[in-house]
Amino acid sequence: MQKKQAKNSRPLKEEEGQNALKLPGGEGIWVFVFGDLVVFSLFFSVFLSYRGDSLALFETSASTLNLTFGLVNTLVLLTSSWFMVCALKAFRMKDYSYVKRFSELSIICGLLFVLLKVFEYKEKISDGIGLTSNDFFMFYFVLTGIHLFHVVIGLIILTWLRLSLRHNNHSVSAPSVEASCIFWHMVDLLWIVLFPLLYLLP
Amino acid sequence: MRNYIFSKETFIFILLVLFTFSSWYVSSFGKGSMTSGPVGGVVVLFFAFFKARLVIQYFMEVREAKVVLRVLTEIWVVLALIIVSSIYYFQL
Repeated sequence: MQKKQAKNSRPLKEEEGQNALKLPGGEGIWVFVFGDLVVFSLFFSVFLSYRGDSLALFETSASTLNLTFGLVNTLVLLTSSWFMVCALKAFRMKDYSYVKRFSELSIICGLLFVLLKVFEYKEKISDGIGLTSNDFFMFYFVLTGIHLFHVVIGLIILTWLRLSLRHNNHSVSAPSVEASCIFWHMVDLLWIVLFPLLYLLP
Repeated sequence: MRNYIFSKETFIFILLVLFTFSSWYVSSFGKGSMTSGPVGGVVVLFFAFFKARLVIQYFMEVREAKVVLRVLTEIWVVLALIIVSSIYYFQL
């Protein structure tokens, strides 16, 4: 009986890998991703609609944002995403030492993003700007705050992934690694749209 | 290490960085040119959604996934770009 189970377990894992290629990460993560994309699209639309109503206020308020923070944060998240692409490649090649290295580098970039965001918030608050200052800053703090929450969740997932691979324990499944990467890329993707909306639009 | 660095995804990453700088340049130094004002804004939004599409297709590996996922993600990119750009440009 046990032998039969052992025999069956190997092909199952391979089958799992083949399915993963067709739908990376499995169905669950994509339902979540689409839900999040739709919700954020609504946020973007509502923000731009309010912007159209009070154009002068939004333009003046946006000009007080520190563009360098926004630009550096975009580059940091893009780099972090690229490291996770490399980590997934290494995982598929069973090169676990590189999976660890790349996921660590990705986590460091994620932490840097959080740190820069905290500095940016601190700068605004010390200038007397807060959530209730005006409509623009209400959107600014709410949208970047919700995104920052996603970054923190993503960092917890990546840390779980990294810890799962310690002590040469490689039991973590391919769909789990793929789903973790997809979530992290979604966090990057949302920032890619948020950055121009808040900081760049003329 | 070379297997990971010299790849298609690295080329996409470099493209994403270049598009980021292009958007920043259009927004910061495009004043007074054709790309200033609402047209410049639509260009910036187009760059943003094109970058989002690259992340979906190459980083999230949708390019190699089931057709239904490819179609749904393309629909999201196109619809979101059209809706967001229209609200911005026509101040709806």
